[in-house]
Amino acid sequence: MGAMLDALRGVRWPARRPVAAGLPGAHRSRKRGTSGEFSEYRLYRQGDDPRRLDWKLLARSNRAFVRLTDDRALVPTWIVADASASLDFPTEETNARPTKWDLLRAIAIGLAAVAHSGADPVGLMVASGGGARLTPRTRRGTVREISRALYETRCVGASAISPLLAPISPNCRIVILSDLLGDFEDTLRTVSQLIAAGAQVDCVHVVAVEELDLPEGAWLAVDPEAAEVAPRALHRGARAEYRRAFDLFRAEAARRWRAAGAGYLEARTDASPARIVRHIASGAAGDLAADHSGVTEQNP
Amino acid sequence: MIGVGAPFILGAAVFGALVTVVLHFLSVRRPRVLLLPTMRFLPDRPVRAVSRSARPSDLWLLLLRVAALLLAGIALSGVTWRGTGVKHGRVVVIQRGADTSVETLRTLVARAIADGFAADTVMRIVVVDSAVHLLNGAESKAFRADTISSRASTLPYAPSTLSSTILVATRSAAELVRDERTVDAVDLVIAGPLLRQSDDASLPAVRASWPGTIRFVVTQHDPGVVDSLVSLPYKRSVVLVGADASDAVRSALQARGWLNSARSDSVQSTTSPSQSAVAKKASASHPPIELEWPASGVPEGWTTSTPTTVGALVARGAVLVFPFVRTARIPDAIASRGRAIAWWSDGEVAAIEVPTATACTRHVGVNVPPSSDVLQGQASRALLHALAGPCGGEVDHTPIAAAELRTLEGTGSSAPASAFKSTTAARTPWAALLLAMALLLLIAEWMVRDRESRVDGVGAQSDDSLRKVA
Repeated sequence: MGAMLDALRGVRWPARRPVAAGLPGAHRSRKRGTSGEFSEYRLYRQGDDPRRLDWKLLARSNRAFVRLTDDRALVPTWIVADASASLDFPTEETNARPTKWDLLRAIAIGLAAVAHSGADPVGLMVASGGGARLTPRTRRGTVREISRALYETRCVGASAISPLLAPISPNCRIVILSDLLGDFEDTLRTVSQLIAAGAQVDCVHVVAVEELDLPEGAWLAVDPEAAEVAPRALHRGARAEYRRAFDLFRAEAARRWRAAGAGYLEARTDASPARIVRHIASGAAGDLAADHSGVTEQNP
Repeated sequence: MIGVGAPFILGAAVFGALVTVVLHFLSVRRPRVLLLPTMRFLPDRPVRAVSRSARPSDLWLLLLRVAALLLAGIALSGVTWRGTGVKHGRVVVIQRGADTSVETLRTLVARAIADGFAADTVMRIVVVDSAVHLLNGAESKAFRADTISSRASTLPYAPSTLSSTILVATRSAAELVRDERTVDAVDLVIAGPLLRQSDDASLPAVRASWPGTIRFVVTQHDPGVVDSLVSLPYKRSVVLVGADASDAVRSALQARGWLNSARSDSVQSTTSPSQSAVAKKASASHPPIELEWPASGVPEGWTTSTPTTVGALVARGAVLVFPFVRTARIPDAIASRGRAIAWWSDGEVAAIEVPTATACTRHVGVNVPPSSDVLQGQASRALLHALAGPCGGEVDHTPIAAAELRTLEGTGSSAPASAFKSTTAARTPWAALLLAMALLLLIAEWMVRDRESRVDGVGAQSDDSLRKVA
């Protein structure tokens, strides 16, 4: 983990658009304030603070202009981690590593470190039974707390992400780390509302390589989150059909998250977590880019 | 050495065991469980899948099933342990007729003993005349012709048929195999004059019942006996003995020239002049047949019965219709000693032939009225020919052709000992025990299968992995 944090040293994670007014920070704010960074002039309107009049310009042009300057603000960052049982894959039967949870945890810690280095408050919500919830803070040791909370988390049962998103203020940045196999529709609906309210949402879709290339041999596939669902046979004839359905699901998920205004990135377990974090942090690029290293990124 | 009574049953059991082993390698079973989060994208198909493995599945079940099958197969197929030291069996059947002298018989037995005198040969010698004489072990070595002659049998004028000889040999071989469990094959040697008379209609079928080759030894005829009884053309010569015969009988025999009234120079009818010399020789050594045919009353030793009218007589397959009056019946004691030659139409014996030291005496219990001409016509021809015919019946003493004998010998090897074992005899006391063990193994197999089905069947839904997930 230390190597990954070293690799992320110096990475900045700017907000993709002006953030709401807040404590002074590194992100451009929608509020035009009185800072020293000049932005533009605007005609004086009734109600403007007369102290912001540019008296020299008034003397030269006999017109009253107000001097506008850009404001900088902090943006609270929420990292929402899906810790349902489906993230604990591949299991011991296939002897494959890392698991989806390993990758998700590394990405979460990396993002927390990057946000924290930018002086942004960063918090964590884990979507599982009794999952951890750490309010966004900027104090020293926050990343370590997040890391400890993630390492203490066990992926069990089914979890819902949308209830966690509902109380979050839209004036923040949200990164959802999930395999999107849970409450997909509810989460997308809540995310749409948050984005409409001004929130910046990124979705990291964690996909295991073993889910794309299923293990050889005959298996009896069981859903780890729904034991009551009848098992299905995984054999040679079912592989092509499975892959077709899974590819369709991934493409549809990417399309719908993009349509909702969120950033979407598919992270495979054979990809470097640091590379994925860099992709997320530089998300302002905006275009869909397919990366053969296991990262597929899209920003609106 | 191990013997198998019913190899096809054992083969079926082994085949079943092999099929069971193959099925355990190719069995269709539930594959391993994989916790797959994206299971929902798999097609919804039946959960059973073919799983081939390099190792057999359910090893305990496989062992129990194979063991039960093999035990049942061994029990039902009659596998027997015949010990070490395989022996060869040999059955020597000697046909003895009136033309087989005591010296010839002794020579044959001595030769058979000498041929079979080997450590690995078990032999049975059977002498067949009118009875069957089985010579066992020491008895055959100390063979004496008078030992056989003293037994309750008589010498037939012709040897027994080959069919009956082979049947005797079959029975003797079965006894040999039963007594000597280490015998693996049986030779059959038939020694005798092998006359055409021995060939009957049933011979091909009976020969086919002997499952091996047969060696035939043609013996020399005894000239003295053969000439007197067999070889020469037979000249009918009848002497009326006992009570006075009916005039009708006497005249009928005289009319045919068969009556030898003086007992020494019988009236004979020759078939051709060229045979006169032979006929002279025959008349010197061929005693006339004694015919006891009382005109009234009953023959000696017969019992008187209530006179009843019987409408016909049967002899040599021909019927003589006449209102005969039956006044005599033949007692069983006499009937068992002789050979019936004529019957009443209701099946009772009307005339019988009893062998004597030199020829035979025929007793006729048919009263013919003195004035009747029933014996003069052609209808009585068969009856008179039967009464005046040669003792023991007319036989064909022509030897069987060599080519026919070769056909009867057959090709191949000796008869296997297993062919003489009956299914009942093949069963051993171990069969019940083996069957019981097979049954116990099947019960154990059922218990193991039931236990595993609880784990694998419905319980597969809730195995350790799923419980962990829950």
